[in-house]
Amino acid sequence: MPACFAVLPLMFVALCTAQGASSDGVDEHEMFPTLALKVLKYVEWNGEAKVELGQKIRVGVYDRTRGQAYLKVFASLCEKYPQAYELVDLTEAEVSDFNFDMVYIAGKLKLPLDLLDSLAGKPVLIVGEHAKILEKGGIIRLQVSSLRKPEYGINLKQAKSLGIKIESRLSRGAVELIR
Amino acid sequence: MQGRFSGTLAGVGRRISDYPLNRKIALILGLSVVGLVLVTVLLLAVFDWAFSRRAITAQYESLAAVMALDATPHLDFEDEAGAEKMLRAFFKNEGLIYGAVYDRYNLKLASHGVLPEGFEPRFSSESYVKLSYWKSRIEALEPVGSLETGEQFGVGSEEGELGADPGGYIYLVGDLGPIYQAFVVKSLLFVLLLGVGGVFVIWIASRMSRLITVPILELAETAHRISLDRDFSHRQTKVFDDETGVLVDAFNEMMEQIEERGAIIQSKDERFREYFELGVAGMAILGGDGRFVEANKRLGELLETDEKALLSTKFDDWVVASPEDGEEGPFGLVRKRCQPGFSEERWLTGKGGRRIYAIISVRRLAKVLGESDSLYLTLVQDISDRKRAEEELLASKQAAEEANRSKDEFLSVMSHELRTPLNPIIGFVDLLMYSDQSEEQMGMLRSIRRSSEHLLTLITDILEFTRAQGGRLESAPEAFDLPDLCRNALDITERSGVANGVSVGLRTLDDDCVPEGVRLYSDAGKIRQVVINLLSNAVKYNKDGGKVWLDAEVVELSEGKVEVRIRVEDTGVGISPEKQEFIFEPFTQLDMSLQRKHEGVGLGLSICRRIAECLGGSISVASRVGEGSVFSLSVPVSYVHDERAEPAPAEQELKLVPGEFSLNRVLLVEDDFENMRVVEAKLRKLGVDFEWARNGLDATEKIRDSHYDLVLMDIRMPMMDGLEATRVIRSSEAGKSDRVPIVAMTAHATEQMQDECARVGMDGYLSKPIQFEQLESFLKRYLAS
Repeated sequence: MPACFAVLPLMFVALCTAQGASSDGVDEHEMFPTLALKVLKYVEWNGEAKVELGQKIRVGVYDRTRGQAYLKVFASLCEKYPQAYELVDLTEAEVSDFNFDMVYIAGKLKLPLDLLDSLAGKPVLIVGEHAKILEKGGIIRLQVSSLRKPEYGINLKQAKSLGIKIESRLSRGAVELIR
Repeated sequence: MQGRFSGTLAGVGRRISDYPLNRKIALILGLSVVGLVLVTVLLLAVFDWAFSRRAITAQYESLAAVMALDATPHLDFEDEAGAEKMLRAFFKNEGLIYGAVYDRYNLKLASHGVLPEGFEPRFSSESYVKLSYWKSRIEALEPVGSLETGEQFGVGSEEGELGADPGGYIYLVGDLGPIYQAFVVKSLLFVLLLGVGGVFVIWIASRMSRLITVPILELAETAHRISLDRDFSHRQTKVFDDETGVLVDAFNEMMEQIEERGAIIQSKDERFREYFELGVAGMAILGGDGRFVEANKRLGELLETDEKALLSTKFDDWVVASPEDGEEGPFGLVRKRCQPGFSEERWLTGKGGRRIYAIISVRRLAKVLGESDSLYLTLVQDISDRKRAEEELLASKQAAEEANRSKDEFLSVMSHELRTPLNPIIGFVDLLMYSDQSEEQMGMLRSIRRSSEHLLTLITDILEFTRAQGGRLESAPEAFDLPDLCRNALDITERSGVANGVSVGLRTLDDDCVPEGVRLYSDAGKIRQVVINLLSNAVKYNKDGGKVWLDAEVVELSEGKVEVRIRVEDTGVGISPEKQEFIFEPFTQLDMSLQRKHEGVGLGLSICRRIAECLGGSISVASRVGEGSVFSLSVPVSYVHDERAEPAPAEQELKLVPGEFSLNRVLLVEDDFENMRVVEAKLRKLGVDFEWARNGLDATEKIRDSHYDLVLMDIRMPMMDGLEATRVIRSSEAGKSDRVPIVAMTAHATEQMQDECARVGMDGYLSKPIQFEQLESFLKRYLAS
């Protein structure tokens, strides 16, 4: 049964990838939420590897993209693993509790600076696709290479300042690394 | 196979056994070291192999695990380039020839190197490391932890624990060649060290073993020199105080003992050599073939040659051959008999022809080391003088015996010739005395009769004494009864007692101890002769009106011995103590006056003592002058079974009644007419009817034709003597129930003749001259029944 839980999301991701690939090679809104959740296992918050410890991850998603495709993918993934993830939609609702483990900022067009300000100084892994996100307080930026392969960049300096530790295994594969 | 191996091993063992001691020590130490190092190397190799295996396994496990960790992001982001880059980085590890990263679908994400033929991953959630020794390969598979999104949350899995389905796999294939090479190099290094160490140890052992071998070799050299020089005074110098020093001390002590013993042996040898050379007897050492090996000077002198010349001769060359020697020859015969204590007397001939008679003793000597054949010690003792003396003595003895035989024959003839005329004298005097004579004539006849009897007694005594003096008295034992013996003796002496006015009687007779069914066994004739002699003396030397008592008893002594004791006591003149000492000497009488009064030459008691001694008994006397004497005779006897079917009728019941024998016929065989007439007169006086035969031949014819109740047979007769006639008569009676009694009458008054008469079958024996009483007694015995 656990194998089904492991295999089914991958199959789903693969199918999405395959559908995305059928149009432009990569469907970021299908692939990036998965990758965002995958990188959580390389992350420690104040010395706690929450994924390995089995602690529930509070995930916030800001998605102003058309159709909120990212949010849907996140929602479907989190619904599958309710004991692992708590999903909070940060797009419209007023949020008073910014005690998140990860916040994903979808889309490449505009950064929600208010949100970023709200998260500033908090040990929240901010993942996004915007080109300037690493400069504006983000820690991981996901992108697609010229060969249509997923890539990522990491702002280790920002992570370190927030008490977040990124495993070297992950950082070794980063295409952009800010120390 | 196994037998060949064992044979080879034994051969090697024998070859090693012949090695010098230092080589053996070096070999033992070298082999020990080699063995020790071999075991060490083997153990090291085994441990090294085990550790290497463990190390390489751990190395690949670790490598695969590390690679699995590093490959996780590559698998998460499907980063083939990153994965390949990682694989290339890990290929810096020596021996790694292939590495690959597979995703969860067992699809290869990236690989590096060339996968060897025959190898491919076996995907499993369990990691494994597999060694293929023959292919010299090692392969490792490590599942990559997935920790996919949310899949482990809430499960509470252990750190590092993977899910059921790995997120991918790391597959590595390595080469074991370097390990092998390292192992071989190390092993070669060990072997090299082993060889060098072994050589070094052998070299050291060889050097050190000289500390042991050199003293031993020096000792051996000394022993060899001693054996060559035969000089036991050599001693070995001790070098060390270790065991070799103890060995040298023991050797020196042994040599001292050998030297001392050798000196003793040499001195003894010289002494025995001196005995040998100076021996008064001839001595020689002979080989097994009888050849002289050594001889002393005395033997050379005996054989009239030089002792060295004897060494080229044989024993048999000097011994006079004997028919008993046979094919073996004298030495072969003597050698066969050479047990201890054996000696032989042989004639030897010297070189000059002189014959010597010698005692030859031969003893086989124990073999000495190195001798293949036994040697014989021969002792030759010259006894020629003794031999000559023996021969002379033998010749003298033969001459004496011949002379004695002549004397016996002379005595026998003389006895016959003297008795023959006495027979008719006494016989006719007896007849005259039975006829009517005047008192004066009767007195003269008594004188003639007494003188004749005296003469007859003298002749008999001298004959007996001569026989006893020559030691020719022989015992002729027979079964007898003591009462008969006593009564017979009394019968003979009673009459002379009456004539001398002396009463003679039997006082006691005790033979109760004689068991039923047995009789006494001894020479009754000789006992009777002694008793008659003692009774006659008791009558002769008694006083008028004196008494003579006869006491007889049978006494059983200890250990089953039986003795007859006879006492003759008289009331005569007695014998003084000084005379008693000589009373049994020949020609001894009490005193001259008595000698003049009584007849005799004093031989009676001497004969009695000789007879008693001949029978193993004794005779003694106890006497007081004027009171009388007691003569005691003791004769050992034995018991013999009484073979008589029925006891003979007691003679005392027979009464001489004239005409009692009238119904009997007696054949008188006598060649001498005068003798015939005397016997005829006596027989007629007794009323016995008889016929006369002139010789033995005539007698046999008469007996063949007629029946007779008794034959009185003279011995010496013409034509056929009495002995031959008796043989003829007895042979003619073979198978018949009738058997005529034959009584010999002869003047040959010898025991041999008596024995001869009994042997040819005669039943009685009358010595001439025939006493009337004796004849009467025989007639009673053979005719009355």
